[in-house]
Amino acid sequence: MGDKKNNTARLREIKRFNNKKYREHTKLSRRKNIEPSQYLTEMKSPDSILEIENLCTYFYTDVGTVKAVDGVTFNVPKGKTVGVVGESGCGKSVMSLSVMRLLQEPQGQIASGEIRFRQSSENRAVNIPNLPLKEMQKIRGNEISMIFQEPMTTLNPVFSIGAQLDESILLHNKGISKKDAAKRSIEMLELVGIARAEGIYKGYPHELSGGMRQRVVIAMALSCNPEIIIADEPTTALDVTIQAQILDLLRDLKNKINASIILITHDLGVVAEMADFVVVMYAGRIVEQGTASDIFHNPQHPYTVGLMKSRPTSHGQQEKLYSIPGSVPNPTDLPDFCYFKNRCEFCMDICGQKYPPLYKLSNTHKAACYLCKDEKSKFEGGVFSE
Amino acid sequence: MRQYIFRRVMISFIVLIGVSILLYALVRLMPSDFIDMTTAGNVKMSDEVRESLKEAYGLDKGIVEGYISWIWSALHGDLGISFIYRKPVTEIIAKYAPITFAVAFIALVFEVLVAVPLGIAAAKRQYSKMDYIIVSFAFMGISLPIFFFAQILKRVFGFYGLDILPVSGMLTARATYVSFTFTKLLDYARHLVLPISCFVITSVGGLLRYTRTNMLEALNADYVRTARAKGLPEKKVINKHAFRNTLIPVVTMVGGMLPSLFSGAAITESLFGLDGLGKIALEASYRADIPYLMGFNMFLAILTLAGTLIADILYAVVDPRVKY
Ligand SMILES: Nc1ncnc2c1ncn2[C@@H]1O[C@H](COP(=O)(O)OP(=O)(O)O)[C@@H](O)[C@H]1O
Ligand code: SF4
Ligand SMILES: [Mg+2]
Repeated sequence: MGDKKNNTARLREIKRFNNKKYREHTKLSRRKNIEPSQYLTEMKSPDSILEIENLCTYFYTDVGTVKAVDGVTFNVPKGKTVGVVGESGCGKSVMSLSVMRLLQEPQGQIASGEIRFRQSSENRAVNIPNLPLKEMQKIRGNEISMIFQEPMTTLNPVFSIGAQLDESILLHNKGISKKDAAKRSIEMLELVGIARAEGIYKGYPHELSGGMRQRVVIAMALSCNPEIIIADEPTTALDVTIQAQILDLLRDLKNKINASIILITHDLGVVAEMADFVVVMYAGRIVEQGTASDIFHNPQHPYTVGLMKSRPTSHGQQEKLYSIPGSVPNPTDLPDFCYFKNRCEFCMDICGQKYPPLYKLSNTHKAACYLCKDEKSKFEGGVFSE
Repeated sequence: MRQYIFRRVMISFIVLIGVSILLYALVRLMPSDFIDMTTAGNVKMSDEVRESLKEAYGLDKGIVEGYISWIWSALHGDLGISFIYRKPVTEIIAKYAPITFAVAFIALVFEVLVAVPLGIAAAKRQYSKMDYIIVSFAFMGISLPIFFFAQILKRVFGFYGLDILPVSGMLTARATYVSFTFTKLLDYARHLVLPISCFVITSVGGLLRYTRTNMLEALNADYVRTARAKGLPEKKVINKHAFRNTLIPVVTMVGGMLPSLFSGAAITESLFGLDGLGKIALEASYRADIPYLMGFNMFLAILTLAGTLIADILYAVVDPRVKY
């Protein structure tokens, strides 16, 4: 009885808090005449194109605040590919939607942190969370574009493929004629390996298979020569054979274009082949990051090691696929200590006391685990060199 | 496409035959017939006279026999003579249908013009004050009984209230118009303001809420996120990408609303004294005017089938995934 009463009081408290947050957000987003000084910034590193620093993205839901992304920091160097890995639900999509400012507002908000983007077209650096929507719209699809997970629903069913491709091109290339836009669209379709591009150009999404639709989405993402492409699990929804084809395409494109790529996936094999840098996320935080070789040959965090072990191997020796025991903790109610503690086989006393800081293992390699405190690697040699 | 329409028309024909059987049975099963009702309380009326009258009206025949003779003439284009008006039913329908059509069509246009933009405005700002106001308005309209609301409107705008609008009839009684002039048209229009507002306000809620629901669904769809990810301005995202998808279910619903506009006319027309098919139908059903009721209801059935057919054709026009 008393519990129930407490609970309703708590829920009401949450509701009040959320409404306050929604109002604040609405007020902020309706601001007119935002001074450039509020969103102009300086890049910290000369060779990075995107710098995410302490990004916190929260969802204010009826059951409490979901800290989907909670203090993520990493850089995307120009022309390089950064792989972001982690189990489902650990905040990868939310992180990428934050960069695009495509969160479901006002429930989802960037609560704090910076996303600095080197906007070379304007010869400046901007802080994306503070950008007015109009400025953001100039970046979306033009300088930063996105490939989504679900090709079956990503395209609008009522417009032709051609119309949807032309739309981006016409939008971001002022003064281009419709005919030239159509020509460019068909070129893009050819670039992503679609035969009979002119026929497809006139067709509708429902006439295409999932793999073909994903190619169209990729063509759309590339059509304005973006500086950054965010691919959020571009192959997860596809059949295995089609997955391989799309990955081949992405690998091929990576060499043809000189955009930076943020490749989100839970397939470590893909990351191993394509990524220069890897970020491992767990429950909204980065638990380990480094160069691809750091992560693959010298993983330090037990979670990364678990992910490695749970990869299907090509030898087919393992009968049952390893999977990390337990599941991702409830994101509304995260503890103060290491989030991985109740799934970790190396758990120590100190692990239950405070969330571990990111220990620097080398210039490129960091991990948030007390095992790395004394710099002596627990998993020497890495998992690949068994 | 042509083949599809042909097939649908053929099927409709069979459906109509079925509908006519049901209707005829229902109309004949009404507890008392036209003769009983007209002669009730008349002491001079002997049972013999009554029987011969029934024979003259064809009410002595059984349901099956009666139906066969009705459908036989109906197939030859003859819907019989109205008991009340003593005129061929086809003639009555031809004379009064244009009025009902005009009123229904104007009402439909206003309903769409009110429901669709308001539904979209509400969906665009879900849970905002604007949304609550619009949804409350829709619910208020749905829950208001039409006869009650009609009286309120009459009281407020009519002679005993603001006295700015006529409350009944099609034209001002004393005015005579030699030919069809602009003043006559204006007079018509003034008489239609209250009936149409009454009808639109009490029935707009359904379409409004349907538009809102579908718009909300479209706004949460992945393709809308894609449209935003392209960098399209919000106006275009909503008015082009989301709206075009909302249009598909809305068009289907509007097509299906056609017959309900006509059956609703029975009440609106009676309340505001408009000379349309609906007003006559209401009277006919009080007095068991079988030929007229059959004619009117078959007319509604044809409209229903035509409405769904039009909706299905429009469906193929607005949705490229649909092909016949
Ligand atoms: N619209 C939303 N409302 C509430 N919570 C959300 C929403 N979108 C995502 N989340 C939560 O954020 C967390 C991260 O989700 P997501 O980024 O989609 O994970 P993934 O790594 O699989 O892409 C999840 O716990 C999810 O429940
Ligand atoms: S900090 Fe402790 S509990 Fe957390 S991963 Fe490292 S060893 Fe395991
Ligand atoms: Mg995801």
